[in-house]
Amino acid sequence: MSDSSGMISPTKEHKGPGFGSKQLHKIQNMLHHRPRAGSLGKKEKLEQIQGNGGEIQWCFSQVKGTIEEDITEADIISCVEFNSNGQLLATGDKGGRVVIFQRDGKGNPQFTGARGEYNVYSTFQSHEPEFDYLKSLEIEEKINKIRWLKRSNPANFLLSTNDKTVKLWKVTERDKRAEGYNLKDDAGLLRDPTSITSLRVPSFKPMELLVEASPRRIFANAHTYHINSISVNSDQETYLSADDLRINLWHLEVTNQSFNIVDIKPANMEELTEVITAAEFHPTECNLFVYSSSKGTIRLCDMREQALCDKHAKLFEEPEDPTNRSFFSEIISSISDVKFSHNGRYMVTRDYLSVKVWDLQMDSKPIETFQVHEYLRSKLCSLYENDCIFDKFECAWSGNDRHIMTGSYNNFFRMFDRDSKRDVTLEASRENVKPKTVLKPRKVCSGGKRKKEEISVDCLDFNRKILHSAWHPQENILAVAATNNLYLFSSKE
Amino acid sequence: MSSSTEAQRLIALSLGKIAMSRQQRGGINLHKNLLVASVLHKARTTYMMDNFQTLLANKRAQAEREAAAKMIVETPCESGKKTTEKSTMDTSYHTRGVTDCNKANDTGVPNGERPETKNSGASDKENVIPVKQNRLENTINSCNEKSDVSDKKSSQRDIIVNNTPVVTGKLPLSRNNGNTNYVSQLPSCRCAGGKRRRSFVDCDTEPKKPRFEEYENSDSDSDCESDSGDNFEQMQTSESTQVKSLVDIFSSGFHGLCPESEQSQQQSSGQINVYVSTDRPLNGHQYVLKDLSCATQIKDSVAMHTAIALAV
Repeated sequence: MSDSSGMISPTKEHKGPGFGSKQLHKIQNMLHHRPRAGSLGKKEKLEQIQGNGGEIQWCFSQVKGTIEEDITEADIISCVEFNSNGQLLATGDKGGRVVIFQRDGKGNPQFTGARGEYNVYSTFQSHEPEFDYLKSLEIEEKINKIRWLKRSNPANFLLSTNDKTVKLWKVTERDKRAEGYNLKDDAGLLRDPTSITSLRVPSFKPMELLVEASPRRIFANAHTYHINSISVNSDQETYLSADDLRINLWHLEVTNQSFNIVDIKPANMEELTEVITAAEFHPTECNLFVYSSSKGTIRLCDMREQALCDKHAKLFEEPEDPTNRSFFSEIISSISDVKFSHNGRYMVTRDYLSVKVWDLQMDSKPIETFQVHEYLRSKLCSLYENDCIFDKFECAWSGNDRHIMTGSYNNFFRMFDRDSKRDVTLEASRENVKPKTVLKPRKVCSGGKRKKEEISVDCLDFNRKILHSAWHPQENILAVAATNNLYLFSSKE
Repeated sequence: MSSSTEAQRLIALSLGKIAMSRQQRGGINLHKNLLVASVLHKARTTYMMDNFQTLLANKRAQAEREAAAKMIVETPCESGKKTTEKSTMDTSYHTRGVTDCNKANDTGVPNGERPETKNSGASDKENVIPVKQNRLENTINSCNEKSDVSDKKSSQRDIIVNNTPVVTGKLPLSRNNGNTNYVSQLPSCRCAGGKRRRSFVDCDTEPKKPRFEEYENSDSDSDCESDSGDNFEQMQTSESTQVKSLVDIFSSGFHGLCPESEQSQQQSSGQINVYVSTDRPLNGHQYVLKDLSCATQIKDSVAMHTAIALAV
């Protein structure tokens, strides 16, 4: 629990309003975490409110979606993403729709601790099913990824993508209407211009809030394979889109051109051994990005070096443990998600059974490894049979980079505290729908005697899985997608 | 469950998944199929390793049979094109395989790729081996391919389909004796395998998925013959046989995976299809098909195409 610098961990301190513990904790936080610009005050205050060193107690907050047992395939949520300040939460589903929730402004989190609720702000159809006539293939309308741009004007912009096409959407509010034109008569017909003798300047009258979403750019026809990731650069002008074998760099203003920056397609497709599974830009360095592969490696590339970044600047790979070799070693080592920490010093990767935290300075092995559901290791054959072994789970950092969360089966999700090395399993279920109910930690027993309250591995529901989730960029609010429902959890305070 | 049975089960599962992926909406998932192909490869490898000893023994017995059979089918054009293994295997399989192949086409293969074989007819009865042995022989032959490359005899191209054991339920039955005989297109399979082998170091990863993307039904496997100089590793034959069986069973499924495949299929429909997989066109290859039922010999030479079938 104590960190490498030898300072006393806050969790060992007396948890009380005493002067000493809080001050010590504050100093420790400042030394440990590189502060993000503009957020120093907020974070410290949050830590003080929690007072217990950052251990979070999660409570149910909201749930969105129908309760029906019959799930329409189109309603299954396929991605969840907060915007840069956490005020907006976007979800994409298999039916190609995007639903944006907005946090209402009631309650000031800094002073009263009351958190606003998220309510539907806008819904629009982002992608439609298409048909590629040349290849006789249907292109799914499922939204694979949504990424927000940083807000620079009253409008909000987001990128949404399906397998082949990326779209830039502008979401605007309209709450005023111009009235007072004298160009039309009472019936609404245009008046004869010669009959208009006076100039009347219209005035703005308030109207009911109208949120409009319009596609501003469509970036199409650049990917032969299925797009699995998009990532906006820190320069907010460019973004990358990655498919199985190639990564393209786009400028947000230019739709008819994109630069190919990574191409791992072999000359002879027979020689194909790995595919790209995820890619992301560094949060602050606009020339760095990483991409993960199906073989469990992560490559850090520097765009300054070469136009085509096939040669990696760094290769992150952990040597395989020979004792764990099985038929499925390759499948479970395939990385499904990679995310940079907010401070840009670390990245977290998710493979089938574990999450690993890597220090960008060290490529030989991860600095931390957390087992998500090790009890599934003996069930790999059955999971291969029912295709669950191919599920791609996402992972998320907390705002202060101290916690990592990821999903599992049976609507369980796992939270890992990097400092205390503690982990907890929680469930997203309609049973605990009373707001502010603290979630009870769950436990899975892999064999032997099953204790009360524990769930046996064989009783897990592999159809209820949490693949997509997002953590509020600053606060401890979690958005967890459980099939067709969206759960929102927040920390107790 | 013994590892061999486990391997067989995985092979069946993997093949099923690959076939299913064809029907899925949104096109083929390259990543998933690549992973499935890697499992398939590992399972096959395990299966082959487990049966290595038995295969060796069977192979010896088979070699003698092949020597006899070879005399019948040898043609002048074929000299120097095939490895000993190949020819011995070919002849033996030829006799067995022809029957099976036709049967296979009837029962296991919906349409499209029909690994054509010649009807073996009554004369092959003596060469018919029990089911298990056939399988083992195939693997034995593949195992020994590497070591024996000096086959001078030419034999007709046998299209041998080696159905994976796990697909037992759907395996074609020999007309003659009701045994499930396995026909494997060894030459082509080997070729493709060899090329694969040369291509990369990592044997574990099976690049089968991409291959079936560009799947093509070539008409000649003579390319394989020319590769007699190559060092075929043990895996190749096993891969080829597995792949071949895969192709047989899911031949209809492959339709559309590769644009050229349709073309090839059309060319060969109604004729004796020689199923070939190779990844590079080679010159001057000839192969001979012998239809035992009518004693005709067909010579043809075609350019090699990518060994897509083997991919899966």
